[in-house]
Amino acid sequence: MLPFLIAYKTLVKKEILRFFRVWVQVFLPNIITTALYLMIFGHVLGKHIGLVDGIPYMTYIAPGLIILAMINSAFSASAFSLFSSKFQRTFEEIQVSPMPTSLILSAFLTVGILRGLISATMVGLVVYFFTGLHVHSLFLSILLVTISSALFSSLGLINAIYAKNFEQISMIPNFILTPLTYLGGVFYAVSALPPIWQKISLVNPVFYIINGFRYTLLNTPTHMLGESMLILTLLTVALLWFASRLFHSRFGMKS
Amino acid sequence: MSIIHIENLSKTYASGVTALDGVSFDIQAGDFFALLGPNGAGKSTLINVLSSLVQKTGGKVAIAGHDIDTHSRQAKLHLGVMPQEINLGVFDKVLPILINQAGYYGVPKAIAKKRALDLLDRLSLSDKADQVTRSLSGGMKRRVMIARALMNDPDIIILDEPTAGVDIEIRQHMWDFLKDLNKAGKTIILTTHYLEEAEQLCDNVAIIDRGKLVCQSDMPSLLRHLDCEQFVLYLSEPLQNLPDIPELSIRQIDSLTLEVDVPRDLGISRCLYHLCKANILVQSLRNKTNRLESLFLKLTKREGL
Repeated sequence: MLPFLIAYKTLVKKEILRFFRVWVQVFLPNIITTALYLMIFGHVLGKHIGLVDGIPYMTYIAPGLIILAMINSAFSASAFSLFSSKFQRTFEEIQVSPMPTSLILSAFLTVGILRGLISATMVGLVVYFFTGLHVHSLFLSILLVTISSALFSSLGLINAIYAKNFEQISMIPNFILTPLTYLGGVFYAVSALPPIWQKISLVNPVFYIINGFRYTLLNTPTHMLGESMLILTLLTVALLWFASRLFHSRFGMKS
Repeated sequence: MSIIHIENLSKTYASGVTALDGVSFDIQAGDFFALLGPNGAGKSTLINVLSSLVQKTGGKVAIAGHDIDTHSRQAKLHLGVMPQEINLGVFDKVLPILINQAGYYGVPKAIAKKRALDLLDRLSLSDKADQVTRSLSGGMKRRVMIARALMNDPDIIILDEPTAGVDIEIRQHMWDFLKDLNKAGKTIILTTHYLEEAEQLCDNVAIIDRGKLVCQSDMPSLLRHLDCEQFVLYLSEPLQNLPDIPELSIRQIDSLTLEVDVPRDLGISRCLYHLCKANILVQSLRNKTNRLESLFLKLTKREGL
């Protein structure tokens, strides 16, 4: 095997083992939260809400809940992983090695994507248990989750580079990602909002992810799925480029 | 052959602190090289520049002929680095840490495992292979870090205070291990606060103070610069009054102990001769301070601090 491939595999495997070591903390909260959302919002309140865009409310919110879990997982995977390495200074093992920045970033990104996909799958199984929904396009679903996981994983890397303590790692999920996700239409159709809020929703990238994912699962009307995926990919590339510049300049590390 | 070339190396941190100011020297292949200096002198910064943890602000560094700016990957392949602070993952087990480190250098797992088990054996850590690092003592952690630095089978090993806080027995064991590595052809760069360690192990030495190189020499030549040594003498019989011996500067500590300054041109034999002539019988003696320590204090002008 090529030395680069061995190095990449080593780093990916190490990080995967790290998060599986704390699987209860990593995966279980998403499963419990989703089950609670489906029970309370879907089952209890859903009876009073009825159909949304011709779909039972519990089924309608399911794609958004999967995306919510995926975003948190992909972001946390890279953010916590990199920051705890920095914090314990084990990242120096990687810095002194001949691994190029692109390979280090790729490894962390891979771990973020994998964790996003695993979380989405686990939450998807909970959703299936409650709603029994049939997937409209499995390929597009996986593609969208993969691209979105890459985006939030990249964001997590940048956050970890800038963060000086663990509190700063939870600021972006708490104050940016969660509001964007809830305002992206997890629990409602954006078309039900007043016109001005509909326009504001269009600048929220999470809206496109949820909207697109809802289409790939439920075949609901979508807003420019292809274009959305392209923009998400470009955003990921831009964030990765920025992260690599920060790595090169050793920003947030010893300098 | 010079394996490390440092030319006019400078580092000024963003805070404005200049840690290195125009340092230049070479280290030869196969050398056991001591890098000494007081706290904050710039030793760790220099080591961090060599290992690419810190970006220099000026100068040139080449490792095994590879410029660290333009051929960083090739340069890093020759290095094994043990940092000063313990940086082992607290939840990680010893053997996986070593195997992963080799993996980062592209070493296949089978080779890495064999190498790791061999190193653990040589460092008396075989029974700790499956333990998490937080359960290890400080000395064990230091040895794990030495093993980790060797996992890529480097030509050059940088050890930043490897024996700090380690008990005498383990330190002696580590010294033997390091001597064997050096005999096997590895170039070792050592920073330490234990100057007797540098004196015992190293062939060549550089002393840095306030970011500048104040001395670079081989160890015997350096020690020859010491113009006076202080000895503590333990007497066979109690001495009531110290006689006046014009050739010697003597201080009485108690009835059985004297301190004497011995100029290099006088020598210990003549000193003992004068004492004998004055009917003072010496049972044993020792250096009051390590010879290198005396010289270090002189060169870094910290005498009396």
